[in-house]
Amino acid sequence: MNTLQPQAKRYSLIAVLLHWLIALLFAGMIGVGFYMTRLGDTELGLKFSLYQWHKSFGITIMLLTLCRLGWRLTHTPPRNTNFRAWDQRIAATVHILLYSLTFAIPLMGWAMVSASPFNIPTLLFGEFHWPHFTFLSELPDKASAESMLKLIHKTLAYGAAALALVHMAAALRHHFILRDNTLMKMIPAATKARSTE
Amino acid sequence: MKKLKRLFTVSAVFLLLGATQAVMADDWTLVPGESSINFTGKQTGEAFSGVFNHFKTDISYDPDDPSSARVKAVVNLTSVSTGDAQRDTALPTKDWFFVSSFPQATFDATGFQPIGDNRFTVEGELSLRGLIKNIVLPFDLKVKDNRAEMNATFTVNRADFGVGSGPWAEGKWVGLDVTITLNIVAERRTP
Repeated sequence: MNTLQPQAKRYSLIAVLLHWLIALLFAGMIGVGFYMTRLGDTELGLKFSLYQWHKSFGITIMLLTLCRLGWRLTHTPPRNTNFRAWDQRIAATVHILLYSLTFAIPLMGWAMVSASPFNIPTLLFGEFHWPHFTFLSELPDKASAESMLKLIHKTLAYGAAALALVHMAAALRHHFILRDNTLMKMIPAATKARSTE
Repeated sequence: MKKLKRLFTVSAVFLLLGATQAVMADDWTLVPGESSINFTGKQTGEAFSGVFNHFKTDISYDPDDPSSARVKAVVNLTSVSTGDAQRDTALPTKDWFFVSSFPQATFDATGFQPIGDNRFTVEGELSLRGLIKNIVLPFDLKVKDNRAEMNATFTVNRADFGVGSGPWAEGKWVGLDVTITLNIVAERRTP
């Protein structure tokens, strides 16, 4: 790690915006995903339309995550000043996992939709035609491929939800118990980051 | 020699064209701007309607001899529009109309049976997605001077034609019955 490089106290505005936007969308997706998959046959209209929204926002999250990774790789994030070595390692691992999952979950959803025997075209927000993976949509046994991908999508989503809770708990711990500036680095409204030096 | 050959080819083409015209005697010309083919269906319990924007007809009809009438209609299935981007993207695909293999639907019928009060029936073959079924089509026909107006409403079961395959073959999500409404205006071709 380059300790001589001057470090910002907070994440850049773009990084902060992407973080909270993805967080908000992700929370909504978990809720909608849980709800829509449990809707019965009496509410097929609502069910179909929620699936469409879920697909639209899922692809949005995937693309935003790509932007976020691009931004992250080209901008130096603020350093954690008072982290113990193992704290730092856990935080970094959780961050890498969350980055990976916010990309992988929509990707698996996209794959799952591609393998669906229903062959429902994906139109993002009812407008933009998003193509399917042809190697999946042309499989001879789509139903079993779909159910496997569905399981992966669901498991990763629950895993990410659990990790997000750990991530949130850690942020609150840093703010209220350790009383450092970790959370404030990610708060857009905070004009001054809490000083730890 | 080359010139002669070309002359021969050209005359052969003209002869062929002439022959085709003679076989497909078309004495009524479709007025596309005033004619329409609409349909209604049900998707997850909600009614929707659609339209085929491009179709052609080949109609011979003598009001004094309805039994000699002959109709051929060709509907371009890629011209389907239901006002919903997702549905319109799905309809041309293999599960539904499969337009890459079956771009057209045709209705081929002869002999109008008058059943009184400007009403007729005609029996013909409806060909859709590679399957052909005989259907009896009841319709209203009004002829005034050189203008004919035909209106018909009939219901087809999409499963009879394999429209909607895989999980769509059952009517759970998209209803099997599709009601088709024809409003056809044609003008008598004056020689």
